[in-house]
Amino acid sequence: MKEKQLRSITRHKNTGASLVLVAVCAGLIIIFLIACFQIALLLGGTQELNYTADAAALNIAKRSMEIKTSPSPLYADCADSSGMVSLANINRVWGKAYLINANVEEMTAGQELTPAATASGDGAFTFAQAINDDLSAKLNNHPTLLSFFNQIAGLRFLAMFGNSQANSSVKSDWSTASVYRGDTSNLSFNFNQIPGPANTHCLSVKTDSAIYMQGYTPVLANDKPFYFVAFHPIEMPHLVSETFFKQNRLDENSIANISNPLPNAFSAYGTAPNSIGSHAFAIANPQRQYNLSIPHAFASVNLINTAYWIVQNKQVNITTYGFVPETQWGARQIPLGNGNNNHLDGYASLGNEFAGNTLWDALHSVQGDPSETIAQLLQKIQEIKSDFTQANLQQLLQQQILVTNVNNYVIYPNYKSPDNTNPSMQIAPVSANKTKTLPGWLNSAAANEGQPKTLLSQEPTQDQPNYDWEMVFGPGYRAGEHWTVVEGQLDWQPGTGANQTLGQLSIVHNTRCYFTAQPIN
Amino acid sequence: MPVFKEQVRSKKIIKWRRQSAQSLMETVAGLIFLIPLALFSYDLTFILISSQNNERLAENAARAAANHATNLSAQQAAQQAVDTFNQSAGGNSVSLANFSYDDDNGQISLITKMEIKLPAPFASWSKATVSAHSVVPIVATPAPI
Repeated sequence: MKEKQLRSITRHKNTGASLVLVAVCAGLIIIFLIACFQIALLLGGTQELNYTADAAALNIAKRSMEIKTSPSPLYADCADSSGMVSLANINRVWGKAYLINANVEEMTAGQELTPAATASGDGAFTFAQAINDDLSAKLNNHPTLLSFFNQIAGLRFLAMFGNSQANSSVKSDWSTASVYRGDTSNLSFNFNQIPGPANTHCLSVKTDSAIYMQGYTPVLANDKPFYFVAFHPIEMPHLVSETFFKQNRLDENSIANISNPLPNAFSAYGTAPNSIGSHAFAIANPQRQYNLSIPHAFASVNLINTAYWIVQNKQVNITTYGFVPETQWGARQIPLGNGNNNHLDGYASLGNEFAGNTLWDALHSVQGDPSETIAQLLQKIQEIKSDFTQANLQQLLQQQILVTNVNNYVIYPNYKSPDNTNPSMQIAPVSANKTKTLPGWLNSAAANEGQPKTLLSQEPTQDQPNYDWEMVFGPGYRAGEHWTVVEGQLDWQPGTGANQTLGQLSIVHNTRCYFTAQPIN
Repeated sequence: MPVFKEQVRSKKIIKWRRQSAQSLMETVAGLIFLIPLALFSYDLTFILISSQNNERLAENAARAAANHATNLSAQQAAQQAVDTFNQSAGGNSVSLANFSYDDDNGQISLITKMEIKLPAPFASWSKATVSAHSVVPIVATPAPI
């Protein structure tokens, strides 16, 4: 009986064993399938979140160029077409500040420094730093960065997370970084643009196409540290690794001597509704190159021809003369002695120094080698336009005809682009009725801050090229000796560029006309 | 006696055959359920992987397009990314279903559609279509002057 029952149980156990096995397998497969599906969704959703964070980081990097600040009037010439300064053109601001202070340093070395020049250098640095600080605050403004994040994240859906969207908040990690330290900036220059001695300690990076100011590496001028934001030429905004970004975070790795360096790399952090988060990092690049310059600046050439009239060792008159030979009657009926009937008339032929009628000729009217003067003038113009050559300067001076009764000429840039780039250099006389030809920004009355110095002084010559003669009237005197002493010199008065003017070249001619009469015993 | 033994033996054989047949039936019934399930899971896995590939393609195509500053060249770059993918798509065909170059907002938006040939088709269900949408900023345009 017991054996029969046991057989029955065994038969029942055997019956449906495969079915149970199949059911268990099916169950396991289904569970495994669901698990795999969930994992696939999770991985796929995370991938979508990563893509969204990447796109948002790129958007922040790209749109960081849209964050702008209004410059002080000193730097209005460095602004873009909307009159603002952004990450794209901040290096122009620092470049101008650097040049102004390099000019101050040059004055210090040449013992031409004045309190006005010192004030210009200090002001240039302070105003540039203020623009930098304002921009720095805006570039690190979390609501602004969040809005850039949402511009992209709001258009992307995380399909594998139920068509949700990536979120972020102002409290998220919006850290920034200054990457590519020591690499190129977007400010190219030539060494001849920088006056000595600043050009001996200027830091640069040379590429195949240009020389750039070194990025995020302080450079000293007038004992002040200047820096430039690094941007690789011919590079678009792109993603970078977290490791690279972290190595260059400003809060972890600051730049010595630089206050509030502007970032060129940004981060974005987005979260999915299931709290999974994703970080992405991107480098900004304006894709615009600028030349180091002081855009609104000029240099001037001044002509000073003075005749001193000296009768019997006493100066009786001072006159000016022009650039073509002329006869002046500068000593008119100068009384001789105490008698009323005795007097002297002195005449002189003046303006014989000028062999031609151009400014170039005027520059060469002073005997001697003017190459140092030309180099000085050229260097200052190169602070406006880096590729301006000596041949260009010669051509400019040769085409300027000396205008009667006009003593001052300005060499200035003419801009056609709205952001004051790629100028053509012009020259124009400054006179009361012809200043309409000058651009509106140009203040030809701006003062040069430095002390003048003589670059070329010719040896005084007697009776050449200017000469004089006299006529003596009256019974008590007869004509004595008469002669001229002609002197010439080239003077340079430097400006920092803060007041627009980078310096004035003065072509000075002095003719001393001596007249004597001998009493008749 | 031998007859009895023969009878017992044949009963055992019948019993063994009955049990074996039952197991066979259960196994067959189980396999009829398990094989489609396995094939379905294979299809599903294939669709998921293809979908993720399509997502990646949409992203790559959009990124490639974002490196171009004009609509035409951007679209060509996106199309080239899709064409390159098609060459190694293993039977799946991908197309650029929608392309938008929004110069004003500085964004590129595109949709890629992938037609997936299922490795284990079920009757009329032999193909599946997945699409992926991507929006990225145009990074090729320089900062305004």
